[in-house]
Amino acid sequence: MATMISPLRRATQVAADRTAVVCGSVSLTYGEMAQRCRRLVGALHGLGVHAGDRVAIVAPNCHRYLEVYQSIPGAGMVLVPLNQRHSDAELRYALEDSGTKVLFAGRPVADVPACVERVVSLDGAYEALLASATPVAAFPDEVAEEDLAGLFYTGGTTGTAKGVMLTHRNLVANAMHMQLCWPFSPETVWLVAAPLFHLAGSIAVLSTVWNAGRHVILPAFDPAAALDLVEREQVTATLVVPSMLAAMNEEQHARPRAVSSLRLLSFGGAPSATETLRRAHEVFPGASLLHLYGATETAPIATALPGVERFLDAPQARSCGQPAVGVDVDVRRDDGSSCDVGEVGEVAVRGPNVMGAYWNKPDQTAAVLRDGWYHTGDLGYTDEHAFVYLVDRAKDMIVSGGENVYSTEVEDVLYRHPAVLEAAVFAVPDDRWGEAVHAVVVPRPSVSVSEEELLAHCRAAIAAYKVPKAVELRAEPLPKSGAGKTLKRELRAPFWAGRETMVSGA
Amino acid sequence: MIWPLRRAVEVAPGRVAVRFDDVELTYAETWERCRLLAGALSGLGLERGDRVAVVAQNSHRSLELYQAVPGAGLTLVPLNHRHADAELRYAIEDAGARVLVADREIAELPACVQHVVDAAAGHEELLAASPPADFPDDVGEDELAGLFYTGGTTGRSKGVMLRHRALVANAMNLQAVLPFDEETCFLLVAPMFHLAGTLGVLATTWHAGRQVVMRAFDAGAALDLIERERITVTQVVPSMLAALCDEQLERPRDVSTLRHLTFGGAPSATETLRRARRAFPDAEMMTMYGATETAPLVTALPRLHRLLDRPQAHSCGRPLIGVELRVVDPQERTPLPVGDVGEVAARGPNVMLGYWRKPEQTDAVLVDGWYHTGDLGRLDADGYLYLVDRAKDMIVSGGENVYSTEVEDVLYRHPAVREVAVFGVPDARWGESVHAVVVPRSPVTEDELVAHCRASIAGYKVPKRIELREEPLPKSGAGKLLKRELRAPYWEGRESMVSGA
Repeated sequence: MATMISPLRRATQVAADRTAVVCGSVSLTYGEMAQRCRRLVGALHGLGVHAGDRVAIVAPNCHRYLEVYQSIPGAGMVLVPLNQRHSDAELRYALEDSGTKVLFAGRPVADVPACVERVVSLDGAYEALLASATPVAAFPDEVAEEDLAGLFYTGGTTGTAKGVMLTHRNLVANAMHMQLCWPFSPETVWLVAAPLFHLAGSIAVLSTVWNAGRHVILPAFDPAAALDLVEREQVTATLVVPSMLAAMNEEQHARPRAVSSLRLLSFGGAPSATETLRRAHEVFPGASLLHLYGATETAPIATALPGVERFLDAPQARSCGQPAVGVDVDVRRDDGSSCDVGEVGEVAVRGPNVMGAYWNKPDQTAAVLRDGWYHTGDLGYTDEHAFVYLVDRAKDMIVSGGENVYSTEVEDVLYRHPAVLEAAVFAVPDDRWGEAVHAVVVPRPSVSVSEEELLAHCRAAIAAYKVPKAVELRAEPLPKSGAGKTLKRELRAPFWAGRETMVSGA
Repeated sequence: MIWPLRRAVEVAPGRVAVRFDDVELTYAETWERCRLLAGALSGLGLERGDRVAVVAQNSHRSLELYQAVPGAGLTLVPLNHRHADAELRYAIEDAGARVLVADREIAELPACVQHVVDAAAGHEELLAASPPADFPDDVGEDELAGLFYTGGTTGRSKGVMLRHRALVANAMNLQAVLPFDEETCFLLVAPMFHLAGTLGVLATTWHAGRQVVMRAFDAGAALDLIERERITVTQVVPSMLAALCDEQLERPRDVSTLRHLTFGGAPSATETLRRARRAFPDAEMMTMYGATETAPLVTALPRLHRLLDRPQAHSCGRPLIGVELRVVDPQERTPLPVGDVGEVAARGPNVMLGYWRKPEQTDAVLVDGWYHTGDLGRLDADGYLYLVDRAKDMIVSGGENVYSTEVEDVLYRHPAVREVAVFGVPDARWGESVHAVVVPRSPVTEDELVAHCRASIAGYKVPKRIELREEPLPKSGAGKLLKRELRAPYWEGRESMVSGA
């Protein structure tokens, strides 16, 4: 059965001499990539890492990331890709929770937990490790498709951070679903623009490799660098988050490159503003726009809206599209029954791409997985052609620049400041990032605190993208329900006045 | 198997799903008819896992059966419409089918059959009389969706057990090489009791595309449909391809909508491919190779029209995305280096569960998840698969598999036959044709022997030529018939002993 290494096996069988990846000045064929992957596995065996052991990576995008992404699961080990922008405390939590044995690091991480036996820096040390290793003769044949391939952390330092357990089958199924949204071929040149620690970044790795297409790696997103690569490497397809799309639009408009090779411009993470899409269609007229919606728990694709440029003047442009081929999507009432057309309920997803569980979190797992359906926490409705429209999130979550921020996590940090009596964190619309993190704080009586002090306090504890963009100080208590629950909706509503939904992309 | 239709009716209830003669049905109508069919089958007392056999020419009803029977948790048993009664009886009994849907008479049905439903009027009466049923939500992907008989009257005939997952995986694998979308309009011409006939059903349905169904193949009618229905893709066997080319070159239709022309079975002759290029200049040509046991696809050769002058045109293409392929030592079953000839083996979620109630035959071909095809071939450095011969004693004629031993058994039953050998010889129209060499024990004519065969096996299995000779057949030291020596002169000057039209 297909595993995470099956695509590379095929690519080596059918196109050993084709270029697999271009990253800066490095260019590797599939034969070379496979050889390096077999060396990597040999090296890990030498370090005492074996099937089932967790191996983490925290690094910017590079060709080595692709090797780690395929080899670790291919060898029966478990990949733990971590957010490069997380604070040390956040990374430590995930390393410890997953029980990671070896960490590949493209940045320093202070005080790694005791379970981590070895930290390998992802440049010189990685190459030295490969050079000194005996390559394994072949990837083990006994890795099963139901084996755990990776733990994908949804972020955070507290109990809200969960390791999403994805099997080989989950990720391979998604690779198939991706190919049904867009035809890949040996001529595919895929620009890895989003960070590879997100499923949005790695969404096309298996599909591209399976077709023996080519990867072009952008180490960190920059619109000018992205467009330069599109022109120079004749990139045919990519996926970005809406804020990246907006930035690329501006750059291409201001300093046009030759981008006619680009046939697919896909985006995910949040619905994009129609104006951004219109602009994208203007400046990338040869590219088809594809909106993908999903979740880490669904590995990730759930719905797809191909050819968005056809819908710019139609309401469907504001939808997430229709269920992807291979995925079952339903909008459900609280009692589990299916909603009627137009009725708002929770979006639920079923299919071979749906996760098995959250790592060591049976209660949280049971809360979202019922009868094989994953309940996304997103609220939406469908129209008579099964287009899915999101209206709000059941989960208290903010999506900013493609990153998920859990309100409670930010609130917890604010509450740790001695001057804070009450705090509410929620999303407000933001032209650049889709949504921005916004905090309302009621200080303790007779204690004075400034917005700057609170921001500095947050910055010390959580990743920058989670830090509120604005902290609004107010004297009166936050609005509460009869039961004393903060009525966050009342606080949020004024910011979203005049909009159809309370969910926004750039 | 019902997921694709469920999605189609959600995303495009008003779109045309199927056209057959003057019948046209939307997805909403097809869905409702399938729910009625599920209700009707349950009304006949069928329970989860029960087998429903179908002997019928293609129609929109065959499409409904193909999806609704497995969708309802029952097992579909599609049988070859051209088979003799004895062959059909064998399969029906072996499968233990409780219901038979048929558009032809079959004498002396086995006792397991409790209901016989006429495939046209009877099917409609059943729908009219039944309340619709919801498809159960708990049909597992590992449950048996169908038993696909490889043909024959004897113990060699096997029911290939395909689970839902195998057929769904094949639909996925197909889409990775042949893009489908809502504009897809698939012409269904190959018989639906073969996996070649139903190849595009789930993929087309999943995208809410349209299917145009032909009762039986006819080159002129097929081209008329391509023009009138603006067909975008079709799947044929090589002999159909040759007939389509002849017709199109003689009486051209507007076939500019046809974007993909795919064909399975043995690799086609280069001349046929060249003619196809001339006849269908806008269509991408694609060869596909597989087996019933792999549901069916293993390899594909897309963009074949660009390779006509290259050796790859004689290959079966490369492993499909989703299928693993290797060439192994036929005895040891260990992988061979690139370039070496060995047995072709395939692995993936599309591989069968096994042969129905035949554990020994299953164990002989399924090892560690690998299905051993019985075909002999080699891989080149770019992963192209070249077939050179069949390890199984099998002839592929006009897209149908004929097992030599089955035909030999029939000939041996004639009192005048002392020795017989049956094998494939190249045939310009059918790719290969069935050829017999007989050593008589008493005077007999070729016509008498042909008539004898015709009485017990399907027409396509009857030898096209029966060569009578006096001298004994060549044997090895151990007394084993050296069929290769008999066959070789017919294949002289060819690179392989496998041929398509």
